[in-house]
Formats: sequence, C-alpha cells, structure tokens
Amino acid sequence: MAERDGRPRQLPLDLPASPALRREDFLAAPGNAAALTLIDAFPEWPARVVCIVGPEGAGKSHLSAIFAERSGARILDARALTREGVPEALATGALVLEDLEAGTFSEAALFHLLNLAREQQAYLLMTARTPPSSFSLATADLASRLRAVPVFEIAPADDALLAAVLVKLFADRQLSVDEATVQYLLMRMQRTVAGAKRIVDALDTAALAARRPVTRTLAAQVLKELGEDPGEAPSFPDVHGEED
Amino acid sequence: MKVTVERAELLKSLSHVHRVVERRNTIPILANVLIKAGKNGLELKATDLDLEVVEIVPAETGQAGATTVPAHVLYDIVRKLPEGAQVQLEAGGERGTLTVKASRARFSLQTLPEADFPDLAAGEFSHTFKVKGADFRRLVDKTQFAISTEETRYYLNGIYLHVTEGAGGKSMLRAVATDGHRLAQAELEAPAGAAGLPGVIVPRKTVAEIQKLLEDKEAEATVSLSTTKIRVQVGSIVLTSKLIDGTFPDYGRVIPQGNDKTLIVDKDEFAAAVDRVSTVSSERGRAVKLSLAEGKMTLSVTNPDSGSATEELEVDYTAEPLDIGFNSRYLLDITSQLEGDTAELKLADPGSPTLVRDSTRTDALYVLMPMRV
Repeated sequence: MAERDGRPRQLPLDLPASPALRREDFLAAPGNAAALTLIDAFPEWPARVVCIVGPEGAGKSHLSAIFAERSGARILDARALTREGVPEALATGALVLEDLEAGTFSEAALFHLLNLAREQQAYLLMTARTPPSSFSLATADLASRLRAVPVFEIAPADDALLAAVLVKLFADRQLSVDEATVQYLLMRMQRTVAGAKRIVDALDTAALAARRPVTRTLAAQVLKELGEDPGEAPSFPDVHGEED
Repeated sequence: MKVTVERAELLKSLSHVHRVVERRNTIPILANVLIKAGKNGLELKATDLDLEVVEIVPAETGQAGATTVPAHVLYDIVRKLPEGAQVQLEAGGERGTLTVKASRARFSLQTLPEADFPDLAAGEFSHTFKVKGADFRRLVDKTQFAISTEETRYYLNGIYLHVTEGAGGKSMLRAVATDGHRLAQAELEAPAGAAGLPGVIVPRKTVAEIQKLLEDKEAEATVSLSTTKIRVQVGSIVLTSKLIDGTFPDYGRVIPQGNDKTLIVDKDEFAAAVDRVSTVSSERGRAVKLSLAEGKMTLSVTNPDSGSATEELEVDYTAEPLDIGFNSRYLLDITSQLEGDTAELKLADPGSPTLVRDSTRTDALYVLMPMRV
C-alpha cells in the first residue's frame, strides 16, 4: 500500500486459501438451478456425457468437485488430455474434463475419450465457458458428437448471488468482513463472480501485507489500485491504525 | 475451610494461575481464583473461559472447603508477605470473606461462591504423549515470534501443531506460525502417542502460558489433545485450553524449495550490522537493503528524513549479484532464533520468499518475505 509515496513496501507470503467445495457450500440461485439439479440427480442423468457451460467463476469447478466426490471421478484439465491417457482417465468409470476451450485441446484425444466413454458406459462431465457446439473443429465427427451433448448453462450471477458470493469468498479466506464493506464493494466492483474473486484476492493480499483488517477504507484503496472506481472516499475514518 | 500453606509454595502456584486472569472482566467471578482445601493439599484454579490453569500445592488442611477470591489481590498480598511465613487461609467464619493470616498481618477478602466458578469442560482427549519439557519448549520458543497479532486473522493467532513426515521420512511433531510476512517452523521426532494427531492451532495466550510452565527445563510435559482442546500437565500443574477454531493455511506451499542463491554469513556480525544500519530507518519503514556480490554483502538504509547508512560484510556468496530488501526487525527476530554461529540464507529474487536456517541444524527453518525497496 505504501508504494504510492515511495516508501518501502512489505510483500506478503502467498498463503493459499482453501475454497469450501462441498455440496452445502454451493450457493444455489435461479441462474445455476439447471446445472445444480443435474449434479444432484446423479446418476439419473439424461445422458452419460453432459456439459456445464458458464462464465468464469460461475461455479463449474465447484459443481465438478461435488460430482467427483459423489462419483469417484478424476478431474482432468482438457488441455492435459492425451490420446494415450484416455483409458487411465476413465479408469474409475467417471471423469470431469475441465475448461474445454476451442483450440486448446487435442481433438483426437477428445474424440477417443467420447468413444471410449460410450463404449464403457462411463459418466463424463465437461465444463466450458462457451457451448462446445460453437467450437470450430477440424474433426467433423467430433463436432457432430459435441453437438449431441446436452448442455446445462449457468447464467451470469445476479446481485443477490454476487453478494452471497462475496461473503463466501471472504469466508473461504477466513476473513470476517462487515456488511457495510460488502455492500460498498458490490456497488463499485466489476459485477461478475470473476470480478468478485479478483477484488477479494487483492483485498486479502493487501490486508495481509499491511497487517490490517479488511475495512471499507482498505477496500477503497484496493479498488483504486485495481483501476475500478472507488466512488466517494468513505466518510468515516478507519478505526484500525496501520501497524507498519 | 481452614488451611495452612508455606508462603513460597503458595506464591509460586499463584504466579502460575493468576496470569490467566484478565485485568478487566465483565464477569466478576473471572477476576477470582478458586481455592479448594482438601486432603491432597490446596488446589488453585483460574480461568478466562478459554484457558484454565489448575495447580495443587502441599498444605495442611484443618477443614476442607472451597471459595473464590480476587486473584491479583491475593497474589499481591502473598508476594508482599515475609519470606518463610506460614499463610493461613480461613473462610466460613465471617460471612462472605476469606481471612488471610501470616505472622502479624491479617487480611479479609471478599469472596464469591465456589459453585459459580466456571469449569472448562475438557471432554475426551484423543491423543496423549509425553515429551521432555525442554524439547516442547523449544518448539514453542522458535516459532512464537511469528504468530500474527492481527486479530481478524484469527486462524494465524496461534501456533499450528501437527504431526507430519519430516525430511528423513520420520514422523515429526511440528510447530508452525506465520503472520503473513514471515513464517517459522520447528520440529522434533514425534513422541510415542503422537501418531495421527489432529492438526491444531494453539492460541497465543496459551502458548505464552505453556512457555512459563516449561521454565524448568528438566520437567516432563504430558500433552493431551482433542480437536477442540489441548491439555499440558507439568508436575502438579494442569493447563487446559480451547484451540483456535480455524484452518491453518497450507503453509508448505510458501516454503521455497528451489532457491539457488546461497548466502552464508556469520550470524552475530550480520545481526549487529543490520541493527547498526537500521538506526537511521524510520519507524514506519524499517527496510534494509542487502546488496550481494561475490564474497561481499553491503547493507544499506536510506531514510529521506534522517539520512543514510551502509556497512559491508565479508560473506560466503558466489551466485550472481542480487539486491533485496527486508524489514530489519524481522531479520533480527530470525537471527536471534538461530543457535549456530552461521546463518544460511537461500534466496531467489527480490520479490520471492527467502529461506533462513542454521547452517548446522535442520530442525528449524524460517521463511521471510522481502520488502520492495
């Protein structure tokens, strides 16, 4: 924080947060109801191979983690999938293939995976930011396979969900933040879950570096540094002094 | 209740228990110490609802019974009594008071009923192990300075005690503390009974009390743990405390493994130089810059308000030149924990954590984040 006036600035240790990824930690909302219903319905699925589509931070990985816990599925990044690795990936009879994005995965490997999954009657949950049917692919057979996969879309978070997400993100970092600060952030941050994650990350790091609690004053500073409009400066002084 | 006890015994015991009692209490009975006379002696007990200390001292009980009196007042009285005095405590005569008599001094203290004194229900302990007091104290001493004092980071307000596999594949009892700027880790071979221990966070105040209990280096400590409480027994003293209900971060990820720039420096020379140059630094920014070149370290501090300072040290360093800043107080905190003559620093770059350890011992290590200078 002190860098603005040229003073030396203490860097914080990058202590990892551990997000709560159990079923009861998932924030249900109308926008994610279809995807959540799918996960809850397992193994009674409309198809063995399904895809959850939603923007960054929508909860795809959280839903995948719940599914993996229930099904014993392995979780694999789509970019890491290789043709040789397919049998191993499906060894438990269920697989999560995360972050399917056009141009970043091996088409041959995915085609083989879909074939083997069908043959073995395995469950396959894919996640992506855009529907796989919209990918432009070199392998025509793969394109037609992907078009046939049922897609469960998660809509962008509404205000009520964003507020709950902010509280959860702070709770994941074991930070207690008052309601006023949450409301202050909601009014000023980028109104997406990804935006909420970014601001909470930045606030956590700034608070740890400055050894201060997360307050509205700190939130205003961090918003400014992130290039987001902090609006009017808080009208009341921060009760907590800076230690260093 | 009527009991006679040696002043020195009573004072020693009160000095253990009275520290638990907070100076300010909204619940009156928490300002008191419970005294209970029975056939085993005199039992003293103090609590702040999170931490409880009980000690039994030898005493001659004339009449069994119990009451509670203000802890700090009783401690101060006993402290001021003449050495070698026999202290007589008597309750039940005059209503609601305890009489303290020694030589020709006589005090009458207001009491609160024993029945109202809170009990920290300890519950079942899943693990119990015995450890040499000096060894357990070392774990605490080496890590205590790094505990966070930022109250909203409650999960960092203590020492994380757990059993893990050490470098040699042996099961180790390990203590870790961090305030987000530095991290301290100390370990010893896990004692019998510690296997499968739940990872727990022991609060700062409890840590300080455990240190006091283990002042006698020859003592043996019996440590019992559950997921919510810790109990440490040393001789006739039993400390029971709640644990911090939080998750300690996966600290292993911030301990650098691949830092390839090794600096070996005489610990005392280094600490003295850091202390000297930091004299000109301001209260708010205590940064000292270390400029490393082959065989040489230059320490410098620049404070626009007061001036600057530099000092050169001969060191063992052969990697490429590096400039890196640290909080001078943190450097001094860490060097004061090292036991050998030389400190080994493993560095990467000015924005990444540095590993510090004794060049001769591997059972403690320190991680320090730099300052941007």
